[in-house]
Amino acid sequence: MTFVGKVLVVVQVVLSVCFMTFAGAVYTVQTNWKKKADDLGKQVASLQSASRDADQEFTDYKTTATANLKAQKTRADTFQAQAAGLAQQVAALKADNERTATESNRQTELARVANIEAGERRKEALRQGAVNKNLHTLIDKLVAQVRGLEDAVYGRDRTMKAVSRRHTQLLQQVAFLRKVVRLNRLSTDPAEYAGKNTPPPSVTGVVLNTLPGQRQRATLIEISIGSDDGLVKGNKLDVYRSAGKGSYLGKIRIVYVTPDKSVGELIEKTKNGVIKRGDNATTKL
Amino acid sequence: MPPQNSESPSPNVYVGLLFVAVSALIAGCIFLALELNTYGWTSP
Repeated sequence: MTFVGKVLVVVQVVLSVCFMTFAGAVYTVQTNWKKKADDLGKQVASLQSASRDADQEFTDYKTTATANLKAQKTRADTFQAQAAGLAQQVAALKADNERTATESNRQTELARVANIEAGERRKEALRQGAVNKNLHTLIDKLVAQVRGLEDAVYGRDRTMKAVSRRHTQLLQQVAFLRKVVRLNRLSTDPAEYAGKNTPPPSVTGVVLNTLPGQRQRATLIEISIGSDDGLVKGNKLDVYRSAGKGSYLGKIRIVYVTPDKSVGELIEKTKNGVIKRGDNATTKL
Repeated sequence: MPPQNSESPSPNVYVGLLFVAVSALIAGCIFLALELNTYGWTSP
């Protein structure tokens, strides 16, 4: 073998070794880009799928959330309306509660007053019971007195009936006697007999006026004393004149009497003079 | 060593080197085939 052949053999060996070394190095330390690209493609697909799923989920969630939001808004509106109604109810209930409290206070006060009144009524009832007891005792006494008085009234009635019978008898007797008196032409006026039976009081009056009769003599004489001085119809008075020597003028009998004046008729005449205004009339002679 | 056949040359060191070079080429081809196998034998 020539020298050139030997050199070529050596060069071929070196280059073959270098080729094997580089091929082994490439196979050993190379990066498998295809596998990496496939992995990345799978990862991208997975991520895209996840993204689509997420988008779908987001869309679903958005739809659901929108529906929920709408429902919640509706519920919120409803709740607001209910809250407004409840607020009004609360206000009404508060007002009602205040009215109820006021009414309760008023009823409590009324109950207290009624209780006090009931207590006072019980006390009053006890007092009235005592009073009633006393009144019953008094009634018993009064009933006993009434019974006694009824007995007395019964006795009085009997007496009254007897007296009435006696009165009737006496009236019949009086009527009979009046009839007898009238038949005998006598007066039945007690006043005419009063002056006869009763002595006249010791009084002196003045002639106030005269009623002239025949020959200018007075037949009726008015004097200044009357029933207040004790004169009664039928009394007789003497008339005299104190002027001068004094003279007896006659006697009169009272026929009409007033409290402060009386009128008498002349029953005895004298010739000493005519009775005039200013003469005296007396019962003392 | 006595020559048995004068016409047939005896192997020497260079022949051995040629075997080494052939072995290295075969190994390099195997490595490249394996590398191409990872890419699926697809042309760019």
